[in-house]
Amino acid sequence: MRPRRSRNSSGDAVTPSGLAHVGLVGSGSMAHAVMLRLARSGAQVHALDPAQRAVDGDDGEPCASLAALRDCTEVVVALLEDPVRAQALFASDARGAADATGSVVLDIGLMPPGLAYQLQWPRGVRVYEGALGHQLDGAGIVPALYIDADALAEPAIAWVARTLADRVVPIAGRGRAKAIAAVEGLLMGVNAAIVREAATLGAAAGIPFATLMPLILKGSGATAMMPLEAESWTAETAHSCDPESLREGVVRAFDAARRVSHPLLFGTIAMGVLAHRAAESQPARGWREPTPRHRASAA
Amino acid sequence: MRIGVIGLGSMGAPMARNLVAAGHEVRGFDIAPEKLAAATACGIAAAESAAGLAARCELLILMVWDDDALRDALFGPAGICSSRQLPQCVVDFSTTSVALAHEAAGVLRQRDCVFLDGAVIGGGAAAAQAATSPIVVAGDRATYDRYLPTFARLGRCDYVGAQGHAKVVKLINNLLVGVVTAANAEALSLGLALGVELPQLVDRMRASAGASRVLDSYMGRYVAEGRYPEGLIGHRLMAKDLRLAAELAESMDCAVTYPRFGEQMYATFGRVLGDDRPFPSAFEYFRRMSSVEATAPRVPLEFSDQGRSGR
Repeated sequence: MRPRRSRNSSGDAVTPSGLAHVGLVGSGSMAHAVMLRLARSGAQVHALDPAQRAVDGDDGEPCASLAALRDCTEVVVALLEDPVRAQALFASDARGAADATGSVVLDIGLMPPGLAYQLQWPRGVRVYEGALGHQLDGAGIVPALYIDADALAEPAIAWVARTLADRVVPIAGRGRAKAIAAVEGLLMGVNAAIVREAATLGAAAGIPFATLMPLILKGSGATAMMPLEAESWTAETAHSCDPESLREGVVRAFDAARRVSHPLLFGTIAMGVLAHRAAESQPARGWREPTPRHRASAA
Repeated sequence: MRIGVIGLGSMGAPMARNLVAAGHEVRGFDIAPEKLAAATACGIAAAESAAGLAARCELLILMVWDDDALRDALFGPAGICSSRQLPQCVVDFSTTSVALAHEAAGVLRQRDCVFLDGAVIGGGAAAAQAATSPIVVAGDRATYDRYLPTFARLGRCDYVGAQGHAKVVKLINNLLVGVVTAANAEALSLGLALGVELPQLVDRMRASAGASRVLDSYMGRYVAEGRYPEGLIGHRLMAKDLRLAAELAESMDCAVTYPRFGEQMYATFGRVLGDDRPFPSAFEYFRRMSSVEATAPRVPLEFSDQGRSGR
């Protein structure tokens, strides 16, 4: 086992170039993107994949258990999706280490707002929530991280936050960061879907979207999602705004809405429109070559 | 120039006043006597009918309620076409159907009168007063160019091409306004149910990729001032606009879902909240649906610069 929380020569967890060791719990393309960002920022990433898939040797080192992961890292970034699975994972962790004083976990996964705080963690683990989102930046958008404001008092999490997104948005109030991201995901999805239908209607009536969009942008129907159809997004954000990613955002809102019994009528239509759009536009913008990890998963 | 204006409501009246201010001789007509009286107090001469107006002006501007009102103004017993003498150009800025724009153009063309279809696609009554409304006009290009200096007194004009295209742009704009507003209402209500306060939600969404002009203009105003802006149409009219978009789509076998769905939702909002309540009050419908009590703002908010930029 590696020494617990490796430190630099001055004893700081955070080095001038970044953290020495960061843990990552999660699987799928989102976890892979997070791993890449952390690794490229100079962190040694130790990854635990609950789905028991292979972890890229170039991007991160596989780790056998959550307890082991916590033991060798300063902070664990968790992309938890399913509360039941997550609880099972942490229950085994609790059995492995009854006292985990000093461990810091940042959950940025798709679990509904506030749930990470309700899971049974090993004693001494400090848990915070965050959620990836998108902020306006001039005519485009940039990756953002909505994060529990208290979390930024932890130097390790502050470093991770700055690494994960171009813009870190502290949100006061536990659970609100994910709630805001859920609302944003819903709005992005519905706005993208209605822009898609507007483009379809305009084209059928003989007005190409390239003509229609500048007019609507002057009008009261303007939305930040309109440039998506005009392909003016940067390569990095295009992946976040392809139909499948937009659908994931709406699904996240549905998961959150289910917990508070809130209807999502316009969101339901958006799911259908985005699914249709995804089906007809494959490969979508932002589609990327499968990584070795993806190929391994497929195999 | 002698200009006639039919329809002197919240949009038509300020347009007519701007034309008077530009030095034109403006006559107006409205089926509502009180609106006509209010216009005459602002230097607009009153006409006895649409037909009477048609005989006395070179350019005739229409800004009426719906297809029925436009049909009546054009083809009714005392309508424009009942006049022996027609203007050189009739331009309709009402939110009306594409089909009626084509029909009107065809009938007036036979009498050597050019029909342009136009639309005001944003800004509301305040922009109409300031002559800053975004305006689109379609139809005969030479006629548009000829009257552009006059149109420019009404707002910021764009020519959008063939006959009917201005109506298409207007219907699509209103489709976006209606659906995005209701979607905002639904999303903000969800945020409230999840425990986020409305000012925080709106502030964050305005800076996010979920931002929209309706979020800024309607929900932002509601949060900051506890009320919706003046002069907004009600649920009934929004349902009508979405119905026109749906009919346009269906006339072309265009497979879209939101227009009909939105029409039905706004009809429901009208039944539950009142047909003439401002359409952003759809928010109250979703609050009732989720039994969420909104956190009413007590002080006006100061939104960050970040929230204002980027659109």
